[in-house]
Amino acid sequence: MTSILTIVFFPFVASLLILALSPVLNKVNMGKKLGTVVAFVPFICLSFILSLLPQLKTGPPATFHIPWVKSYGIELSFLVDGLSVLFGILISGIGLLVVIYSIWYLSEKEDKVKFYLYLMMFMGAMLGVVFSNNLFGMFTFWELTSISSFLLIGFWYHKEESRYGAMKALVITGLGGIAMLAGFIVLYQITDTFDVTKILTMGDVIKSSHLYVPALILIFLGCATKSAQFPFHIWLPNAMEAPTPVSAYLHSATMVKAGIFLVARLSPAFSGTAFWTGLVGGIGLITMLVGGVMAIKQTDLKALLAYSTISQLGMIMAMLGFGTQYSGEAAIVHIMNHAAFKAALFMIVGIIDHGCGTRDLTYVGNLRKEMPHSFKIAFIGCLSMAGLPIFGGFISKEMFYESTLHVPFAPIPYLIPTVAVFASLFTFAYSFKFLIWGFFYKAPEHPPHHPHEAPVLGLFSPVFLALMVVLLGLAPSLFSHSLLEPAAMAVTGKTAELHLALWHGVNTPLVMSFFTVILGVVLFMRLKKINLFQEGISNAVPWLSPNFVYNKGFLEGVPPLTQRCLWWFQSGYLRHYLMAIFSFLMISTLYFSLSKGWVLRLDTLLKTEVTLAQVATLVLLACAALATILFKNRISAILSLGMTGFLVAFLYVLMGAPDLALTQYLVEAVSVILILLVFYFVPPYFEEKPTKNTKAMNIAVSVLVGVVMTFYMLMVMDSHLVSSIASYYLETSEKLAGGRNVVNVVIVDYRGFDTMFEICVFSIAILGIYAMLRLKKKAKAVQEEVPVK
Amino acid sequence: MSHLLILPVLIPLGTAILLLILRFLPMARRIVIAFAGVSILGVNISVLSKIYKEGIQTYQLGGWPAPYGIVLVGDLLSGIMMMLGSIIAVCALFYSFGYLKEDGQQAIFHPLFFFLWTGTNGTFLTGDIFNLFVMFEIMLMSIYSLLAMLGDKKQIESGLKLISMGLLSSAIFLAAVGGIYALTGTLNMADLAVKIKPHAGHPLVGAVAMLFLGVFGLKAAMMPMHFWLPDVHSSAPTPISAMLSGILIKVGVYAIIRVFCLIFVDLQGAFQPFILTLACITMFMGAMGAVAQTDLKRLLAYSSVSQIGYILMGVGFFSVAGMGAALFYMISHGIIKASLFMAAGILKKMKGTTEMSEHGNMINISPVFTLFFLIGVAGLGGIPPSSGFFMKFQLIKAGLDGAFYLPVFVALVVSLFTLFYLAQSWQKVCLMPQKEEPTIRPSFKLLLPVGVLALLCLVLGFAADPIITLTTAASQQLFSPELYIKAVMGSM
Repeated sequence: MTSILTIVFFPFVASLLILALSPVLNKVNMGKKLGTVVAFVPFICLSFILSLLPQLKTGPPATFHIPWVKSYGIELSFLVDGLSVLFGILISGIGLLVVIYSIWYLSEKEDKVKFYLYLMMFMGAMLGVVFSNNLFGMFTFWELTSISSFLLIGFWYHKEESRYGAMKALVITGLGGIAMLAGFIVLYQITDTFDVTKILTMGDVIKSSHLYVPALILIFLGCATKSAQFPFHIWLPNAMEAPTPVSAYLHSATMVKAGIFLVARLSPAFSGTAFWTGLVGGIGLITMLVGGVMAIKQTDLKALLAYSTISQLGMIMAMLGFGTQYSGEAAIVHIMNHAAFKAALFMIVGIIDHGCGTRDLTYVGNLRKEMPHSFKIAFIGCLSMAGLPIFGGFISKEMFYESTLHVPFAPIPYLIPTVAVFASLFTFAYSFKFLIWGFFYKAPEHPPHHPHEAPVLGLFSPVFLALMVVLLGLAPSLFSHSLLEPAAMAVTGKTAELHLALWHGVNTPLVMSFFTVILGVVLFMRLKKINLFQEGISNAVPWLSPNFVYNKGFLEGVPPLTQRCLWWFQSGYLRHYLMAIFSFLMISTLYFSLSKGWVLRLDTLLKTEVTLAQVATLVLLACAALATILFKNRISAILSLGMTGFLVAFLYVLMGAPDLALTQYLVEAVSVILILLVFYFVPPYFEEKPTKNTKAMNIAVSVLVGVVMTFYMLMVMDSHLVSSIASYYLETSEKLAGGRNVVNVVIVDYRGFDTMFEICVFSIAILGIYAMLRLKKKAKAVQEEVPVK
Repeated sequence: MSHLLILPVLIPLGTAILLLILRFLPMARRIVIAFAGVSILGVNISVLSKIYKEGIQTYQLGGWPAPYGIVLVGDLLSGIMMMLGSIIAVCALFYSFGYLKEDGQQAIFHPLFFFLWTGTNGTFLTGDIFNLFVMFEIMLMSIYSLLAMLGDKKQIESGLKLISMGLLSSAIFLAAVGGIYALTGTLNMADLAVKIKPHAGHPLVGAVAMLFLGVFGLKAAMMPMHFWLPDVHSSAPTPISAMLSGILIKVGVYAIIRVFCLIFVDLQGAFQPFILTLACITMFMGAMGAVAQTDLKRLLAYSSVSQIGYILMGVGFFSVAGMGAALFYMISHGIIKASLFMAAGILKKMKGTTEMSEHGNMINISPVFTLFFLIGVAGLGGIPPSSGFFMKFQLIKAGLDGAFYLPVFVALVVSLFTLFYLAQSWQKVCLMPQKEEPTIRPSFKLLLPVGVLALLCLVLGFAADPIITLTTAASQQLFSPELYIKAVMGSM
C-alpha cells in the first residue's frame, strides 16, 4: 500500500521541499523551470492512482492505517474505492493540467515559489480528503484545504478584494468546519467509531437513532458551506479574486466538490429518508436555481462561471439528495462532466483576460476571429454545460431529468421535474451568454489590449479538457466501466451498471430537454431586458442577498457589538472593576451560603470580654479607615491607610502577641513606602465630582462588603466543625522542636517554609522598589539633558 | 526520603539569589542562567516521569509529619503544570536576552524572573493551603516588580490595577483560609479533604468554597473578574507576557481544580452550573474583546481571557474526559500563546509598537516570522494537525458526551470568532502593505524561541496520543482524591 502513501503525502513533501528551498529559489531567476519541475508531482500522483484502477473491480475496497490518536479512535487511514479513485483522478489530472497552464499564465514577476507551495499543499490536502477512511483524518485534510484556499485566494494580497474574498471564504467554510466537527462527534455517539467503512455498514442504526437529524444537519452544514450551497454560496464569487489557474482548480473542479464528495461518501449510511431528501435535495435544487438566476446577470466572465459553478454544484447535490440508485449514478457522471467542461472554460477566461486585459463582456466580444482556438474550446465547453448533444453534459442532463421523475418523498407530483427544467433554462441562457456574447456579439467598449490568442503552452490544457468533453459524449463507455461504475457503487451501495449513450429513443427526459432548448432560446433572446430587471430588484431590495448578512450583519455588525461589549465590561476605570468584583464576590458568597441555610449566631461575640484600650484602638481604627476615604490628598490618604495597619498591629500588642505585631509593623512600613512610590509615578489625581448615583452605588457596595465579611467572620468563629490540630504544637514544641515559645517555633520550624518565602516576598518588594528608584533617577537624568541640547 | 521534589523550588530560588550577588558580572550571570534553566527543565522532566511511574510523590519539609508541617505533593497535575511552566520559562529566558538590550535591565529582570519561577513551581507543588497563599504572593510580588521595572506610564498604570486586584484577592484569600482554618483547625489540603467531607452541606463550607473560587477565578481572569488581564498582559515586557498568558493565568485554573477535586469534592455538583455559566460568558466576552482590538498584544490578551473560558468549561464538566480536555487545553494553549506573544514582541522590537496598522507585509520582510506566526494562528484557531485542533476536539467531545449542549454551542460559535480575529490579525500583520519599511529585521535570537514553541505546537499535534494518555491519567488521578489523601496522610 505504499502507493496510497505516495499519492497523499508526495504533494506535501513537494511543498515542504519548496518551502525549504525557498531562500535559494527566490534568489535565482527561474523562468518557467519551477513550474515544469512541479508538474511532475501531479503526474506521479496521477500515474499511481491510475495504477489502482484495475483492483477496483476485483475484491472489496482496500484500506490502510497509520495510528494517530488511539484514545479517540482518530487515525490516518485510507480507503481505495471507486469514489476515491474517481476524485483522485480529477484532482491529480486537473492538477497536472492546471500546473501546465500556470507555467504559461504566471508572468515573470509573480511569486511562483509561494504559488506552487500553496498549490501543492492544497493538492495533498484534497487527495487526503478523498482517500481518507477516518472522519477525523479527513477533517484534518479538509481544514487544510480551507487554509490553502485562504492563502490562494489572498495570493494577490496587496489587493483589498483579495483579502476580503479570502476572509469571506475562511469564515464561511470555517463555520461549516466547526459544525462538521460537532457533527462527526455526534455521529460517533451513534456509531462509536470514526471509521468510514464501518459507519457505512451501520446505516440502519444511524437512521433509527434520535441523533440522526442533528448529526445530519451538522455534517451537511460542513458540506454545504464547502460546496457553496445556498445560502452559503456567497464566498465563491469573491474567491474568483484568485489567479485563474486557482479558480479553475480549487473553485470549480476540486475543492468545491469536497462537500459533494462527503455527501456522496456518507449517502449509503444517511440517505433514503424523507429528511435527507428534503434537506439535501431541497437545498440542491434551490442552489441550482439561485446560481443560474445570478449567473445570467453577470458581465464578468469569471463571475458568470462562478455562479454557474454554484448552480451546477446545486444540481449534483440535488441528485445525491434524491437518494435513488439512478440519481446517485447520475451525480457521479455529472461530477466528471462538470469538472472537464468547467475547468476548460475557466482556462479560456484566463486566456481572454491575458489577451484582452479584461474579461468583462462590456469590453470583450466578437473574439472568434482573433482567438479561433479558444473559440472552439469554448464552443465545446458551453454546449456541454448547456446540456446539448453530442457532448458529455447532454448525457448527464438527461440522467438528471430522468432522476427527477422518480424522486421519493416528493411533495407534489411534477413539481421537481418542473423546477429542474426551469433551473436548466438559466443554465442554457448563461452558457449561451458566455459563448455568443463573448465570441459573436460586438462589445460596447474596446478592451485595453488588442485581443490575441495564447501560445501552445497556454492552450494545451484546455484543448485536452475539451477533448475529454467530446469523448465523454461520444464514447462514454471508455470511462463508465472501469471508473464510473465503481464510483457509483460506492455512492449507492449497490452494484451499478451504467448504460451511457447519447440516444435512448424518444422518452420523457428528451422531451424535457427539448423544452429546455426552446424556452432557453426565448430566455436568451430577452436576456438584456431580464438583466435590467434583475438590476432593479437587487438595487431595490439589497437585503435579499445573503451577502447583505455577511457584509452588514457580520463585517459591519460585529465591530459595534464588540465595542458595546467592551464598553460594558472594560471601561478602563479601576473603580468600576473593583465595584464589579466586590459585588460579584459578595453576592455569590451570600448565595452559596444562604442556599444551604445560613443562620446567624453571635454566641462568641457576646461572650467576649473587651478592655477599654481595645475599644479605644478600635475607634481610632475606624476613624483612620474613614479618613482614608475622605482625604482628598493622596499622601494623606496613604498615610492614614498605613495608620490602620499600625493600629491593627497595636491590637496584637494588646492581645499579647508582640512578635506578630512586630511583623505587622514592618510590613506596614514597607507597604506605605511602596504605595507612595507607585503613586509618585501615577498621573496626578484629578478630582471628578461623582454623581449621586455613583456615590450611592459606592456606598451600597461598601456596606455590602462590610456586612457580609463581618458576618462571615463572626460565623466562622462560632463554627468549629472538628477539633484543631493546634494542640499538637503545644504538646510537641518543647519536646521535638526544642522551643517554648510555640508561636516562634511554628514560624521558624513547623512552618518555616512559609516564613522563608514570606521573607522572599519582602525581598522581591525591595528589589521592585530599587528598580523603580533607579528608573526615576534615569527619567530625571533624561529630563535634565533635554534643555541642554 | 528523596529530595527530588524540593528541587523545582530550590533551584530557581537559589539562582535568583545568586544572580543578585553576581549583579556586576554579566557573563557569569548568563552562565548561571543557562545552567539553571536547563537544570530546572531536567529536574521537572525527572519529577514528572517519577510521578508517572511511581504515583504521587510527597516531601515533608523539616520532616514534620503530614497535617502538622508543610508537605510538598507532586501528582500528575502538578507535574504537568511544572513541565509546561518550565518549557515556556526556558523559551522566555532565551528570548529575554534578545529582547532586553541593556544589561542594567537584565540584572534586575532575571532575578525577578527566577523568583517568579520559584513561585509558580511552589504553587504547583505545595500541599498546604496557606503555603499556596504564600506562593501566590511570591508570584504577584515578582510580577508587580517586573511590570514596574521597565515602567513607562502605561506599565505603571496597569501595575496599579494589578496591585489593587492583588490586594483584593489576597484579602479574600486570607479570609477564606482563615475561615477554613477556623472550621477545621487544619491547613493541609489532604487533611482538609478528610475533615470537610462529612460537613460538605454546611453553609459556611459553601461560602468558603465560593471565596476560594473567587480568588482563584480572579487569578485566572474568569469573568467578571478578568478586568486586570488585558492591561497587564499587553503592557508587560514581552517575555513576561508570554509567561503570564502561557502559565500564570493557568495557576488560577490549577488552584480551582485542586480545591474542587480535593477539598470540596462534594460541592462539584452545586458549583457546576455556576462555573459553566461563567465559563461561557468568559469565552464569549473575551472573543468579543479580541475582535475589537487593533493592537496585537491586546488582541492576544483578550484572546487569553476567551481561552480561559474554554479551559474553565472543561473543568466545569467535572468529568474525567472534560478535565483531561482542560489539561490538554492548558498545555497546548500555553505553548501557542507564548509563541504568539513572543512573535508580537518581535513586531514591537521592529517598530516600537504592536499596533497592527503600523505593521504589515511581513510575508516579504520575514517569511520565517510569517511561517511561525501562521502556525501559531492556525494552532489557536484549532486547525488540525496542530495541537490546537485536539484541544478543541476533546473539549467539544467531552461536552457532547456529557450532554452539555448549550456550553458546547457557545464554544463552537466563539471558535468561529476566534478564527476570524486570528485570520484578521494574520492578514493585517503579514499581508497588508506597510506604510513605512522597518529598518530593523527580526533577529535570530528572538525568532528561535518563537520557532521552538511553534514547532512544539505541531509536534503536540502529531504526537497527541502520548500527551492525551498523560492528561487522561492525570484526570483520572484527580477524580480519585483518595490517592492524594493516602499519599499525604499515609494509611489513615
